Amino acid sequence: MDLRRLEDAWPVDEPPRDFAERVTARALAERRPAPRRRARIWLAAVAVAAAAALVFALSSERGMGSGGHEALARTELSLGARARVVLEAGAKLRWSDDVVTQSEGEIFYRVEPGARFVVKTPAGDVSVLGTCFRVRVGTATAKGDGEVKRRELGMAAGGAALAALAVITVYEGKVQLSHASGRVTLAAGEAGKLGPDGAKKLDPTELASAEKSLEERPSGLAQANENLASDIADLNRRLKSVEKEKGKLESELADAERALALRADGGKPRSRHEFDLDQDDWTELAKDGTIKYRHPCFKPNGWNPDAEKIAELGIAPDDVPAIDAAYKRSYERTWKSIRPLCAKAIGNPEVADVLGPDTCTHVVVDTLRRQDGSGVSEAMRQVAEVRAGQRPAPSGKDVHPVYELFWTLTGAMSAFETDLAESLGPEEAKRLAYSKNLCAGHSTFGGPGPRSK
Amino acid sequence: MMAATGPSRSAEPARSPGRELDPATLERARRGDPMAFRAFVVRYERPVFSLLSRILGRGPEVEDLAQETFLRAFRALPSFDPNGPARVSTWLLTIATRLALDSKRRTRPEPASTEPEVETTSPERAAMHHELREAIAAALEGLSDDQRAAFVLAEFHGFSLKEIEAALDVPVATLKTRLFRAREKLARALESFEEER
Repeated sequence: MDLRRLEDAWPVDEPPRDFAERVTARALAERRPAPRRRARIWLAAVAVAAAAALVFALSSERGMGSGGHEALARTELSLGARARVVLEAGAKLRWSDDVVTQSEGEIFYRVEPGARFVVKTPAGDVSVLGTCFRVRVGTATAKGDGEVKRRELGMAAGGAALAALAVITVYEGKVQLSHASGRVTLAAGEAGKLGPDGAKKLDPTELASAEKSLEERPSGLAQANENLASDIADLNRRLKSVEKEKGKLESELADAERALALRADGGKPRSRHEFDLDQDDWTELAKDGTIKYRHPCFKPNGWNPDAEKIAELGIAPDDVPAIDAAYKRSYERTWKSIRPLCAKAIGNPEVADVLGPDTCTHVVVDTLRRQDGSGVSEAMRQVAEVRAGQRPAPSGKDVHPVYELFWTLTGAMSAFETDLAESLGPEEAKRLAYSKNLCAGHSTFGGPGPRSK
Repeated sequence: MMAATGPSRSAEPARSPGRELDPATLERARRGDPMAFRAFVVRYERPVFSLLSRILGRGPEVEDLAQETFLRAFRALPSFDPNGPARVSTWLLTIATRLALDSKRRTRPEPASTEPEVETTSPERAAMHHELREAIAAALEGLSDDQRAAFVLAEFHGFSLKEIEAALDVPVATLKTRLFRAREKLARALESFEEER
């Protein structure tokens, strides 16, 4: 019996998006009577319109340091010793000392009891003590209780002013919503909002309306970027076409190199994949500073192969989660390094997001080549020489952005392989990493030539 | 700043129980850590929904019983032995299976015969309409609740005969017969569909 076909023909219900939160809240509610239980508050569904930001001020003797994270998949973070957060894909978070700012997406927070914890939004403040809650940042529809007027969205997108809507549902404990026009206290099971018209309690219908409005429209900022994204998409298409041609030429070049190597080596074929480079390979590449690498396809949403692909790769269905996780980790690792370089090169992080890692790589190299051609050449040589073991890795101010870019990319497949090896073992990881059926990209950046004596 | 990748909702292969929740998170969930319990729910919500959908049929009852499954698991987790013979997924899906079968018994009496004639479910008629889904649905109608549960546990969730025996409280010999019948009926439905095409 073909179980795959049977499975396809026998559809199942999917868990709702917030199923885990609701079940967890119910489970905790059952535990509530415990007399010495620590006070915790659960809030859910806080929606803030457009570019509105939520800021969390933690008055704690233990600081959080500073940083930021943009989740490409569901991600769990700890903010210092007191707060833990789970970011859904697309959520953006930054923090500095004891202030946390959420600018986009949906984030679930848990804060241990302690000093006062303040959520600041352009619409007002949410004050809690120990708490667990979910914050959702998006765009309200232009109707219903969660109304944010188009004019206000336009202003927000333009950066001149921010119109915000925050919807909060409390599962446990109490939360205070503060706005210039007044304060509202929410108890467990109640919902409220902070918006242009102040702080207000919401009944279930109003809450559902506000939540639904988030599902229906992109964020104001996203809306403002639509035109820009369209232009960039066109540019991307053209770049992809060029890259496709480049890939074809690289493939032909690789074939020619293989044939040449075969002749030079008396007919002895290379046993490794041509992009599985060891120190000897890098020694050759370092002679003229050429950079070549193979990297896993950039898959922010993971890898979901069909039966045919599973068969092609010669893996068991049980292996899929491990490969899926390795793709996600690879993407996060690579994009974490490339995104800031790209954002700096083009001066706009949102545009970097639209371009993605592939195009950003070329944008960074090309932009920096125009600005500092010799610096780029030296950075490429450095990568090859460090990989060849001819020199130590640079550090601190000596690290050129192109060095950082190529260091990441030339190590991408090796890191992917290491991730796979954790679950599948080193041999299978190697086989998969260099399998022709694995979704992967190859690039070769010609070097500047031999160092002048 | 410490960062750790959380559980994702990626689809998992149908026949695999998937990788189990890591022992450290499971241990924290056993101790009542809400975030760990949430991770537990996220890890197993899909298999639970899948199992319940296939035993009960799709509908609002699936989510209700999925919630009940996890709430029971939350209460019982402290007594679950991670070093014992049962995988946590097997343990959880057994809870879900029993809840589903109890629910079916409450809402609808079992068919009089545990071996209903497959012809009465007219998979041929469904196949004539060239709708594989209808053919499968028709074949499923011919299965008793226990047959269906045994088949789903064995084929979609990787349960061994011993594990199904424990979950359904049915002797292995009976189980083998039920699985054989279930496979036969579904295979026949698929074959009929293929022939009609």
